[in-house]
Amino acid sequence: MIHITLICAAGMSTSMLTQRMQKAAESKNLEVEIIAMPESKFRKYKGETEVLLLGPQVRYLFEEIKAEFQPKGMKVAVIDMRDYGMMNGEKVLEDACKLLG
Amino acid sequence: MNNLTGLIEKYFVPMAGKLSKNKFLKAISNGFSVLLPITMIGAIFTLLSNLQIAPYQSLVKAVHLKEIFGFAPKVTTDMLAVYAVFLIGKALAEQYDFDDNVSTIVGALSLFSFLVLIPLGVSGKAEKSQEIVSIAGAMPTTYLGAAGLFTAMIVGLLVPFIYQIFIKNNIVLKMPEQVPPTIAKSFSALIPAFSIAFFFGLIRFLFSLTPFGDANSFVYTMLKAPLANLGASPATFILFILVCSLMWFFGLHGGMIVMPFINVLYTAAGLENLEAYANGVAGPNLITNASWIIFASIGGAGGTLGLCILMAFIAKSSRYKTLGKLALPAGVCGINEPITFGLPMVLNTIMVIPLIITPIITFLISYFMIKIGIIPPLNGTTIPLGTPVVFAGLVAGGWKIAVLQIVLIAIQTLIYLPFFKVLDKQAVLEENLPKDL
Repeated sequence: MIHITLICAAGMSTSMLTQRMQKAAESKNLEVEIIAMPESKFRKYKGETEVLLLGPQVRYLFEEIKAEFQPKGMKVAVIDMRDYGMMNGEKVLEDACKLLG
Repeated sequence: MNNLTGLIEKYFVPMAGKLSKNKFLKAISNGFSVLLPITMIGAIFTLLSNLQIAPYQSLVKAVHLKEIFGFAPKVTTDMLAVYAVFLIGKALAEQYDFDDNVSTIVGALSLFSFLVLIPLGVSGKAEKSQEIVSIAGAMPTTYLGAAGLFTAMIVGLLVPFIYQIFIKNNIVLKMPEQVPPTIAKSFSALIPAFSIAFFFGLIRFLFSLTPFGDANSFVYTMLKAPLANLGASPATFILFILVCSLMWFFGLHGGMIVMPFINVLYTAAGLENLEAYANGVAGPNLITNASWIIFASIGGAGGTLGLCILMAFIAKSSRYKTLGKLALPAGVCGINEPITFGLPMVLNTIMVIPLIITPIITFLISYFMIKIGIIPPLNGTTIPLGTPVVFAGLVAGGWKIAVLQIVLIAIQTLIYLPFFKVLDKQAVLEENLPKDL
């Protein structure tokens, strides 16, 4: 089971993307759990996360979040703008899996 | 263009990051967002109690619902500063990375400090004898609502800030090692807590020596009145729109950065309108915190709902047609990231013009319509992000506002039309290029 967490300002537009990623995962028979939340909630979030993806609109938080969570074993990345806009769940999921190698 | 993008990423992005990471702004923002259930109770119960439909009114009066609905606003809207000071204090404490229970203590200390600044004693006319009577032990509610909101914000930021100084410099009560850590922790709060208590007690005393009488009167005259004047000017609001749109042009969440300022300047205005609405009179403020969602950013930052409609219904290129169908339902709820990053609006030198002018134009139209009295001022309801358009208008000010929103969407469509046609034409050309070239 892979846990992917998406964060943005209010967790709204990322939640649109999680649905599409989840669908893409189902069609590929991948066992993933994808959730979205506001950036401010993530620090208190106790659940597991292997891949942490930032919405491009909060990419200014990337350095700070990477410095904080990469040492904890998470892969941190900013979602590609175009994929984010087109809500390309399949591509974003693919990129996330690539991060895990 | 690549040079420009590089420059932006190098200088502008970190600057936005700094601003959005500012602990005080974050505390205001987070505090107000947790406050939402309380403000919503006040607003919705006011609406339910004052909805001007004759049969509805006789019904709610007959079954005593009017009394139930009518009371809640008196302890929510009219006392919002009390909730705000606790939540902002707690939110800033969380920014300082205190434990949950320490943050709650700091929130309670903020509430305490706010209450210390309120002078006791109420005088008024007795109902029967019409004599002036004074009750020395009663607490006046004057500064518990909109009028005290600025003091609440100042106290809510000041108390955690002072507390943090004590913690940082390790000025806390140290217990012998044998004392269990949990107990030691609650005792360690004592030195900062007593210092804060004394400090605000002193401030209360000092203000009682001045002609102002109390801290709230001082803040109200020196800060609230000038800031309210600043906020009442459409130019101020337009500046916020401009900053927000420019941020989005660079692909950054402008709303997140502008919102704390909107909260500081316009929450009191909204509360004043809500109080007026509860009393059956028109609100005194032409611009409130809800003006942002209701008039300026219909469909999201840049006022893009009109653009969604264009894409979904008149686009000739399959690229924009697909995107339009994807973006329209989200756009109705004021979310437009699909457009911002999918069209994209980001660094799009054609779309930057409507991105900036559309929300300003729709805001100005609404402003003047309210000013000349065609449209009533907003009733002061806080509209949460994600509320569908038109329904939001209905709640925020009645059917006239809802109709105005529809008109504004039509205007958005017209503004975006010429710009969109240029993009669509290019896309059609690209799509018709032979694939194997």
